[in-house]
Amino acid sequence: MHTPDPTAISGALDAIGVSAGVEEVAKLGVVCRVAPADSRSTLRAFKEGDLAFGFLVDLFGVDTGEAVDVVYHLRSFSRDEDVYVKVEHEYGANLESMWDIYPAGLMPERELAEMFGLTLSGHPNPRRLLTTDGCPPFLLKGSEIRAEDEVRHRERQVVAPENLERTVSSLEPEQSPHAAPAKMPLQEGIAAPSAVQPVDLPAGLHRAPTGVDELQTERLILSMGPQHPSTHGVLRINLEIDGEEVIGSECHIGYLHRGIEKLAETRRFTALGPLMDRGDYLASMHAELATSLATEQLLEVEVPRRANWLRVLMGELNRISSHIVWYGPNGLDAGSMGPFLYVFRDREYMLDILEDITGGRMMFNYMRPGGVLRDITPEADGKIRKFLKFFNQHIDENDEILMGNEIFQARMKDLGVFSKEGALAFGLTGGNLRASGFDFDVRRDQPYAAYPEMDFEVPVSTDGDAYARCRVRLDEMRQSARMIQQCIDGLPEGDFTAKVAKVLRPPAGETYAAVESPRGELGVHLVADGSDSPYRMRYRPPTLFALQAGEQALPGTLIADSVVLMGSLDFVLGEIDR
Amino acid sequence: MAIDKLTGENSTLFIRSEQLFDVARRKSLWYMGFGIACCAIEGLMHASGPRYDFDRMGVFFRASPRQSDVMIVAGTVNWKMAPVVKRLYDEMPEPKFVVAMGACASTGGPFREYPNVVMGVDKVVPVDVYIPGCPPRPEAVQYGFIRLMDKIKAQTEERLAHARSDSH
Repeated sequence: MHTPDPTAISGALDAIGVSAGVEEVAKLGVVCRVAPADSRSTLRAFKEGDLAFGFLVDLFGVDTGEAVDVVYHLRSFSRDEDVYVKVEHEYGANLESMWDIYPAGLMPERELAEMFGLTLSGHPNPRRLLTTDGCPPFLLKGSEIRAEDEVRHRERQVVAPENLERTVSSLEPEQSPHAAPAKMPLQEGIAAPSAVQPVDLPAGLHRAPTGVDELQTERLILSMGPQHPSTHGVLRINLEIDGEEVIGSECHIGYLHRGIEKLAETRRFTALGPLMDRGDYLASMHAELATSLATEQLLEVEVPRRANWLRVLMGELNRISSHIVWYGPNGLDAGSMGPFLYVFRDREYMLDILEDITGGRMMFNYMRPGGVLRDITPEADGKIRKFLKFFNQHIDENDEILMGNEIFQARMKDLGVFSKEGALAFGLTGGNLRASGFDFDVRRDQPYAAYPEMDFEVPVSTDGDAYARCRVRLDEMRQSARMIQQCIDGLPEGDFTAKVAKVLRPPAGETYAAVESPRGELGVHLVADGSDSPYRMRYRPPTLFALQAGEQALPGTLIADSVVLMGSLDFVLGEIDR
Repeated sequence: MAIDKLTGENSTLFIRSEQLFDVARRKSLWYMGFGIACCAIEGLMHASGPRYDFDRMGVFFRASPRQSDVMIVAGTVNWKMAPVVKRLYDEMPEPKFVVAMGACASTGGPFREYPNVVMGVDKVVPVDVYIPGCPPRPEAVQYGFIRLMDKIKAQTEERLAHARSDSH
């Protein structure tokens, strides 16, 4: 990644009359600090004009102890540059929504406002995102977590049902708590379903008497989830439907919000792994790796070459096992039970390998700052070779069973089409972005671990529909198998971990590390203050952005297709809610 | 086979209705397909997958709470989720059982310090079997179901013994 030229940025901002403090921060990059009043014009200058930072990577807040720093992490793909725009807001101040400049900020803005006790104005749907009314702004430093005494001596009494009900109200300033949900303005362009045309009836059939002739349909709200077998977790989608057609949608998340970011502030740097594992629980290795990379960047530790190769090996094994959980259930969504059973046979074998090496089937805690937990055993090596032999056969078989199925193709093609511009505007990354024709892969374009030494291709499709997303993921599995073969054959000798202290105390600083998880760019933004636990840890969940794009794509589909569309985006609710 | 001897032309089987229902309850524990978090992958997906194959124990998943006997609470329950869990439990027909799978459903697990997390689903619905682990292996879930079957049998025998002592 390149570092942008600070003078060019301050020059461009001076031209529009914004006085900004632009400085280069070690380990992070260029940080541009502006006043809240100037934030709109600044972001517009960054998006348009010569700067052309068209992609909002992430939007989050940091409680500095005196104010709330709102950080806009922007990226220019053409120049491969990142910049951080920091806007200092006072506690309880109003956050102006920038969704018209960066639509990717729609959901992160709501999360930021509720988690830091800000109000939100100018947002099309300014309601709480993750928590319910009565929850304090958890990510403020003043907000306490449960004391050890309370946790150790758990009361077993049952909560009365009337105390269970929770409401979700608006974050907008000076508004009644139960305002009706605003209609998403981005969905207004959707055409109403066409009127039913009367057809000529064959002889002998009579039309119903007048009055029933013209089919009157009623719009109603269908609440799908949080308990629904096809929402892939505890997602609730409110579908506004007219007959069988979806005309509006709103995603409700937060049913699995369990404070990974807040709890990370109380854990040591070495103990972040287990917490991150449970975020994206299908691809634990990648979340661990991102945290380890960020910690290593702060500590400036050199990772041994063998450790890097082991990281690639385990990451790719995990990628296949994660894609399998997309492949099987996405088939189930479309009504195909068989492929699920076939791929889970492979996944069981794969989990055996992962268990042999790491000791766990799902939660590995294998990537540690400085290297990996332990070396690969000869038995595991043999198992991986055996696995690759039959997996390469099975992947072709699976390709035919599901992807070659005519019904599946008819369901998936032309469904949920994202244009390249639309996908970028909503912050899609990973396979979802590559299916829309934008060729970006963190492994190749911002390489980490041993990926520069690997020989692999990045599958890209230009269709942008659900079928293209499936195709890209299936081809990714083939590339992962190729990389596993390379790792097994060419694993270099050496140590599997660098010498690091038991208790890590990185110097004060800030850094961002991103990995290509099976779902997209998984980023970890770490702020250290010199103690043994992070001051602030931000987890960039790639599927949160995929979810808000899916929410926009739902109107216009049928109810049955909405399930398939959301399934094709491959999200994990543990990561969306954190 | 034994069943052939019972089903002859004139054969009659005397069984207490309690015992008959007991067999039916134990051998067809249908769980609700309701995965909250990580545990759902192990306890619901791999459980019904080809290796562990819970179907052979009569343990099968149903999508609707109205058709299920067991609710596996597979994951962390927070205060936003708790009313939903309670409502789903209320929608299940009697007799119904709850399995708290994993550390989160039992006590709050690794997230118990976060005030938004309910410290154990037993604060919301009554729990019959707790399965330790984070996440528990499918074998552990299998053992949990065997213990649940034992529990149902023990309850039936207790009721039978009570009925017998009443009649004398």
